[in-house]
Amino acid sequence: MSALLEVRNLTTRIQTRRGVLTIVDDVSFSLEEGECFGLVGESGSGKSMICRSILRLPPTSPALMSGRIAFEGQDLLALPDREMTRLCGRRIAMVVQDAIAALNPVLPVGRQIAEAMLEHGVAANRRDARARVLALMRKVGIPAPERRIDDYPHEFSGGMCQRVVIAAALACAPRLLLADEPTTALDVTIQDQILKLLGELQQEMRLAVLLVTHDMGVVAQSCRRVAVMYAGRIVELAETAALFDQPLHPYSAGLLSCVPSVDGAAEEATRLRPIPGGPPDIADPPEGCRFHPRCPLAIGACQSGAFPLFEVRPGRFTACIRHEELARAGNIWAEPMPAARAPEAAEAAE
Amino acid sequence: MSAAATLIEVEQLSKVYAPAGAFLKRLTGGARQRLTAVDDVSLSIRAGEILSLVGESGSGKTTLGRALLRLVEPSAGRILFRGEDLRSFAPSRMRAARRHLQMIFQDPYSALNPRMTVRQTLAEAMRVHAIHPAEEIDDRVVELLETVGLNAGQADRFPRDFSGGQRQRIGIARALSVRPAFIVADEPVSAVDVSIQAQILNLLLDLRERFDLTMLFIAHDLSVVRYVSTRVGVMYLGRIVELAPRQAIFAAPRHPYTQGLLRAAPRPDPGRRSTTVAITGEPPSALDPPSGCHFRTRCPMATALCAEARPALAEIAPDHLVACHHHAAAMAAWTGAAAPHH
Repeated sequence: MSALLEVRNLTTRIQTRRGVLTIVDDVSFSLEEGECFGLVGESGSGKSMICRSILRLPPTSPALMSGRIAFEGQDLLALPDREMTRLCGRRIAMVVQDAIAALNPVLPVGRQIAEAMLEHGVAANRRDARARVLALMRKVGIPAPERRIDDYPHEFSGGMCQRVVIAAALACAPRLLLADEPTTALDVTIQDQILKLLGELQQEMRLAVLLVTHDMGVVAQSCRRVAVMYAGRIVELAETAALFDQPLHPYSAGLLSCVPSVDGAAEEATRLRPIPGGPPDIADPPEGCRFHPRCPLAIGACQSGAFPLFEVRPGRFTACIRHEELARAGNIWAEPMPAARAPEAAEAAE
Repeated sequence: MSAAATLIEVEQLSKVYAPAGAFLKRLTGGARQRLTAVDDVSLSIRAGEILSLVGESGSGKTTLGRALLRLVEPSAGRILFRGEDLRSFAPSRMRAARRHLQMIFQDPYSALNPRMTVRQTLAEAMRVHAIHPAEEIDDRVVELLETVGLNAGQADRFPRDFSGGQRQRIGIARALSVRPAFIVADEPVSAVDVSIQAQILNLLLDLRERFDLTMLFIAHDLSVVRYVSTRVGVMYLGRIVELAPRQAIFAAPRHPYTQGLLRAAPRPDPGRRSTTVAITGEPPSALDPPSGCHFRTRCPMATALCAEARPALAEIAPDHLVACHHHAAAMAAWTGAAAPHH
């Protein structure tokens, strides 16, 4: 399969009051046609900035980016602004976390969904656009679109606003949808609806989706492949099923096992073992592997040098030089605690 | 009922808001709109337990937690703390009682005064309640910091010097500073990163054991609720629809809403993808809730009866309360459908 999007050695810096910070550090991955690819990580890991880099949205700018972002064979970083504007919203669209803020409060939703179609000449005229908007609203599950097309964003719930934003993103039938935490602000039953809607649309329109999230459950539900980010770098990249089955980076393993689960009787007696400490300050990251200060498997060699991704098996990449030890050790983050509900023995000793 | 003594008894508690503009509307002859955030809720909180309230935004869980401490004034009902109704307390008596009733807030950024050092923040409540002689307060601040996993050297720093997880620890230390009997923890981990979440949850579990605390834990994340709770109450549009021990809620949920919530929760298991939506539709407006059972407009089992009568929260198995006319059928459906996770 040919790659629709190919990101090679992308480094994104941004200008802040604290100087120029490297937010995305030498990141490479690719997306195939129609694929849902997950970027997972915590706040500050650089995952959202990758989306913004692809569209060259502020605070990123081509001048502070290096590497290559090839979309349908064109290098987006080298594209003149006018060409880039023609791609944005037509071939590549974006959905963000805060749908209510993403919409213009003083324009009816129908006008906002139609905007990109008229701008890019996809709709012949306003009447044509209106018919297309109604069809899109129906497609994304907005009830009674004829009655709602002239309503304003404040007349919609958060979940319905996200559907409006998705409809606007799909207006020009893009090939790539950048979805930056599209369900994080939503309630769990609405999140479930939106994820399933995205799944259907992706199938139906052969749409490639870059899904940015902090939630491994969302990745498991939606993504074929996933890249785990930590402090600006990809630390593991694999097919979702393979990564969940056997993570090959201690951080991915930690993300999977430090989160409680809604089911599984065996875990009743297990105490979560958290990843100690916190993510590093991006202005002053640790030398070597950036995860080493928090890693139970870290050795001297982890404290210096470069930690690029390497291919362990076809399609399985990790940046961890200790991945064999990790695989052998089983779950380094699990701590059997038969007395999970009664740790007073240890505490009483104090 | 289990043998544990009841610490707090909530009887028919309600909180009704008249939305902004209601007064003007009434003057101009319009219909008066009311929002019932907490609708006739009764429950008891047992000494030493962590009772969780789970529900989506607008379900009333936060309002209930705050009303319980009289941080918002309830519209009706009683809150018995050690047998006495908090609502009958005069302001001075209520202020004294607050020593026993503390709160941990969701947003560790806005919950701390940015101009106060950690030491000042922690000492304030101890001073107000005159719990320790002034000369002991410094020692106690150090002790509190160590209890929540911070160190004495950080006492004279300001909130801005701390990460979100550390600020949440400071908020917890502040709640503990007056040695309370009861803590309402309102979404204490929803604003912290996933790798930090487990640290805070374990800390709360340890503190509960160590200081013999009773907690009301408010959350929207079912996995977190499953990890910390003794019992769980599920809320929908201001009402408790199911209340049971944790094990029963997660293994044998009997309200169709609880079942839907469990199905909707994304699971970190790529082998169990589903394409069917767990609960269709959106919660109705709290200004105009459906008659009878509030959940009926989204419920796959709803019948005419559900529109006519509000189902009472009834004990249908030992310690398992459900407010559903069709709980027997719902339970059969859950067991029959080989629940997605068993």
